[in-house]
Amino acid sequence: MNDSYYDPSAPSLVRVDRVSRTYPDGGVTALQDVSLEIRRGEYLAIMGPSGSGKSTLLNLLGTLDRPTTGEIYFEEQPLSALRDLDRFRSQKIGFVFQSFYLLPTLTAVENVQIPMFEGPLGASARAKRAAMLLESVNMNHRAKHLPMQLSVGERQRVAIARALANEPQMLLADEPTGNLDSRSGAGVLDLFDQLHRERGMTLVVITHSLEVAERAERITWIRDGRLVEQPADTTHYREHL
Amino acid sequence: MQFSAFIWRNLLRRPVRSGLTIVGLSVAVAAVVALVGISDGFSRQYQELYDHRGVDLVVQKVGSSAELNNSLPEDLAESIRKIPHVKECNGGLMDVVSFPERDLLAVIINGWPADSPLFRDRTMLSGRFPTADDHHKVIIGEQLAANLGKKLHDTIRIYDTDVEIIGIFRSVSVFENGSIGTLISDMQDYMNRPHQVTGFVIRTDIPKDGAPEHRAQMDEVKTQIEALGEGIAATASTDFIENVGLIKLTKAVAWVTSAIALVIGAIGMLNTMVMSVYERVREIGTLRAMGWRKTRVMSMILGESVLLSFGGAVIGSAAALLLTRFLSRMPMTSELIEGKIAPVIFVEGFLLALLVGFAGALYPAFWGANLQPIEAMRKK
Repeated sequence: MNDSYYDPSAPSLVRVDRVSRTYPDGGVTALQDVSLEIRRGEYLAIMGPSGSGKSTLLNLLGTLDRPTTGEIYFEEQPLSALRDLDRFRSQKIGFVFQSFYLLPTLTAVENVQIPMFEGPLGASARAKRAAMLLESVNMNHRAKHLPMQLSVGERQRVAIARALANEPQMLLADEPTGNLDSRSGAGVLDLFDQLHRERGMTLVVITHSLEVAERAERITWIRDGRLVEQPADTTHYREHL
Repeated sequence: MQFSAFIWRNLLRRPVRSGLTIVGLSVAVAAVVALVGISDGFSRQYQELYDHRGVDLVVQKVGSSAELNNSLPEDLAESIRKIPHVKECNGGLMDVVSFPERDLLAVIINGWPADSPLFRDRTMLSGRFPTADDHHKVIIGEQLAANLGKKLHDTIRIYDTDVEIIGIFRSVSVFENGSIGTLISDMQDYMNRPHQVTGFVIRTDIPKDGAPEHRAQMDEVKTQIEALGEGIAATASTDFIENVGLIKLTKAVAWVTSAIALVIGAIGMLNTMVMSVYERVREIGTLRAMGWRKTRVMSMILGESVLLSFGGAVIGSAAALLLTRFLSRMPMTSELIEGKIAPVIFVEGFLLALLVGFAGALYPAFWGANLQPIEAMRKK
């Protein structure tokens, strides 16, 4: 585990307070009484098997979903009190998904500009910033390429550049290496390390890969919608993931 | 990248579908612009003709829905001329004849006295105007001459009578260029309506400046004309044209046909936009996850639709112009259609196209904007 930069005394960025999420249609409780604190600048991995509720937790952190009970605080402000969640997502959160979700008709540099439309930048400033972000993920040479002309690793790099478009305070990554080969996956994780180290970015990575999780400063384990202690034998645990 | 460029890129994703939608909408716009333009042209040409002749009032029998069947006594003109401010009162008998061998089914024929100014306000290209002794002789418009393949001194057959062409003229009106003029006495014989006219056109010396005192004077003239006998109606030329049964019918048919075309266009647009939004559910979910507001997603979808509509409006307007020009050169329609469309009709066509685009995309835009990001991104 990477613990070089973890500062337990850093102020809280996100506080999850006894959050549950129930889906009434299927009577499923995806999360139950979860409490969690994420410190500013922390690199956190959330690990658990499929269906454990880790993606639900990520969606709640990203305001893509709302808790059934409990509260999530961002910089000590309850998210339930926010009137403009779109703006919050646009300005505070960056998303990186397993399937990239790049728009197929737009080039790499145009895809990176998508979140900026809700910001104050004009067209030329957006293009300039997007080019700069692509350079930061070593993708400036592929700026004019469509997603289908990029390798999966390159697509994820573009998606990371897009997630950084509005200088978010927290990057949420859902299985970011899930669709990548080991070399591309390692490259993405190196990029996360770099963002964390150089920009002090708060990173929350959802994964069921122990190798990915071990790049984080801290690992939180989740099972059956509850946070649990780290299994004593992770090798055995890994076999069941 | 501009937002508009993003919208444009979305349309280029399915060029065939976007193209077909534009074509479908352009047919609807062409129908609107051509039909409404043609029907508008009828009343505009009438108005131009009356304006050219300085006609203030049209006198006809009240309550008749078919203008050609109107009948008033010819000698009413003398009484009308005595009314103060009346400068000219010209009676005429009008009918429609056909030349089926040339596919000309509605050729207007007017009968006037030989000394009527209505004869004289056209340019004689060859031949001469009729005199009071020119029985069974006619003058015809240049368009009709071309359509009939006739020249000066040829004969044409009307009302089972062979008549000689003694003049070929050009008028400011397309209608008149496709019409026939003859002596009113001959018309009364042909139609068996002795001493009858279809109506009178009146010129006054009252200024047309819309001043209240001049309007009051015109109203007084109308009142005095209508007091000359029961069932006489004196109508301002503008009001008269708006109430000509054939023009009203033409406009009604044009708008009903256009409405049907527009509804079909709107359904086509709805289908396109629904398909377009359904197949982009994941992308829309992604945009929402990235912080795009519902209003921006709606703007994107409505923008795509409006852009398609704009394309349809441009192509449809061009097609309508080409169609009316083509019809104005066809023998069957050249006496009716001048091949021009008023700019306001194009504006109406554009606005209706944009309205259709907006209406057709409203439901998919609302549906797309209200997608929950997470659920949308999970869609296959």
